[in-house]
Amino acid sequence: MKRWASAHRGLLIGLVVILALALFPFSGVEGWIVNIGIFTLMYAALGSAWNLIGGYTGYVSLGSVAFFGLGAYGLALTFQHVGVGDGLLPFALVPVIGIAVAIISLPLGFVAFRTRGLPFIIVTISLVIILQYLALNLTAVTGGAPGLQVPQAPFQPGTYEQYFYWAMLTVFAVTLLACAYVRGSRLGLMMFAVREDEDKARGLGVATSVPKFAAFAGSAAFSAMAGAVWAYYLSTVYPQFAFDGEFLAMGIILVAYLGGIGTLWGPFIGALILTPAQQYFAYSLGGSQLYLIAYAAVFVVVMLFLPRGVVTTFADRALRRSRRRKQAVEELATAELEPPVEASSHAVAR
Amino acid sequence: MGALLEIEGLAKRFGGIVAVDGCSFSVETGSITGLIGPNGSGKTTVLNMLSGYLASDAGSILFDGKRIGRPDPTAMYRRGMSRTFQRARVLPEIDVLDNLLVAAPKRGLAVWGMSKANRATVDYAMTLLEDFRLIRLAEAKAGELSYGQQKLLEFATVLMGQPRLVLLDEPTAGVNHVMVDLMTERIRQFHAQGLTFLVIEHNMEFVMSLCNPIVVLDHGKQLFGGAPDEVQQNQLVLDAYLGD
Ligand SMILES: Nc1ncnc2c1ncn2[C@@H]1O[C@H](COP(=O)(O)OP(=O)(O)OP(=O)(O)O)[C@@H](O)[C@H]1O
Ligand SMILES: [Mg+2]
Repeated sequence: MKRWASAHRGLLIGLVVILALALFPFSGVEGWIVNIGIFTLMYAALGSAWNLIGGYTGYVSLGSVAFFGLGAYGLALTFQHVGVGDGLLPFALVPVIGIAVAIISLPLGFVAFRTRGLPFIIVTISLVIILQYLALNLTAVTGGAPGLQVPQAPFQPGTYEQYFYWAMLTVFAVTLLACAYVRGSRLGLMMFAVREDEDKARGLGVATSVPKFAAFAGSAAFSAMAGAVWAYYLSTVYPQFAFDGEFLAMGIILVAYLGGIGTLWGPFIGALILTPAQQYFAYSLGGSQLYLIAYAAVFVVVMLFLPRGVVTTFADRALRRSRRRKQAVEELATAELEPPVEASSHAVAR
Repeated sequence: MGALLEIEGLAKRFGGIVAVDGCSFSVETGSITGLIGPNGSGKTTVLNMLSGYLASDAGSILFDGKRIGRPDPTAMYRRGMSRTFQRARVLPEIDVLDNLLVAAPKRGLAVWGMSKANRATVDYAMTLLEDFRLIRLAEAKAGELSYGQQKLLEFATVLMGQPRLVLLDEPTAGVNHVMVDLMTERIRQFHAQGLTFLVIEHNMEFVMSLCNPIVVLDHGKQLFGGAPDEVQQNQLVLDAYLGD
């Protein structure tokens, strides 16, 4: 009963936040601020998508960028070969691209899941490198280093950003909703079990490949959707940006770490703090590569002071406070089971 | 009643070490069979092979009359054989109730449902928590429990799958006597309901009062098998323990 109520409170909070975010462009802010909003939502979506695989199943993947890039190229290639109209129509392609990339991710997951731990990280980062290499060299398809052009959307200059803002918000909202569903469901429980102790989970009858592939493909789909919106927004895709194994890859994991890995809202909170900061660094230190150093410094600071992230740290604190009330009861329960004299074992024959 | 589990010529070596060396014994349906032996005699290794965590080098396993070619942990659990670990293994960062719900058997489309478990499953989990006196800790993270409570939780968890055979690896090691009594009570209770047990233990008081028959393992081979009083009087068994 209590769980039911708290689930619905969560849904309400989510709805209010998304609604507030949707109204944000109407507050009279200028285009460049909406632009920062788009990037913030993109990181929030990518961070949440990463959380599915890295935070829920514990398979730390650096491959999000690969699927982001596939989504971006997917949109550009569809424009080039199929012709999808202009204006709002291309946005309808975004979910299709998400599904297509999820399907493509399955055989890749089959290879990656032969490993776990550190080797898994290496396999997934290799995927980004391979795709970047292919994008550079399959010139006939990808246009090589200069990449592909996407026709610019015919939106009015004053409102141009708004449409992309709402599109990115939709991608984020869908990702968040998927995460919320997963967390409350059997599927999520299986993912958490895999993260906690995969071998133990197998011995409890959990078919671990189901949650692993679901997380991998879901993460790929949402990353690709963010990539597709992004490509249309910038009206161009090229390899260094679409398959950016450094800046973007680091940013995705950074927002998740900063906010709190494995939490629902963590990546959003992380993106809310980090993306404006990042844009600021890029502006003020832009000409040089210095902003990359500033960015890396943020990562180090986060790891040092909030190793478990903002949401996790504060949630723990709140929990401890509410626990104190329950403590009397708990102590009773523990005392019942554990008298002060602890005989560690009764081994007779050792 | 016949044998629920029969193993024949089971063997396993790790490099130069022969851990299990042609081990054969059986577990009768409805029994609480004890498996004892000096440290390093291969007890845990036998359990690992039975539950599919280790591939055996040789030998055969018959569970419920069916030959198990290459046991796999998930498949064995679903067939009705579940186990605990010598060093308790729980899922530390998820709460106690969820630890139980994970182990509820569900497959196919049911996996994709909106909830973690149906009402009946949650109720059954709560009953188990009540039985194991963990009910007040249902919402605590499993990692916050004391070691003894984690051992109780692990035992409760494997009962979620409605198993027919439970393999317990040293259920009382590192557990205080109040919890040992609770553990004993629960084993007796589920045994009375028809569950079969294979229990590895060093705690002789516990084994002698609970198990019958008792299989003694030494250097990876079964040395002797019989009733508790026979085991206590057997010269080979005494030698194995004293000579080690
Ligand atoms: N994974 C492994 N790799 C190498 N050697 C192993 C491995 N597992 C067990 N052994 C060795 O196999 C032998 C049997 O070990 P096992 O753990 O089965 O004994 P045990 O009877 O359970 O002992 P204990 O009572 O101490 O738990 C020991 O010599 C042990 O060192
Ligand atoms: Mg052992």
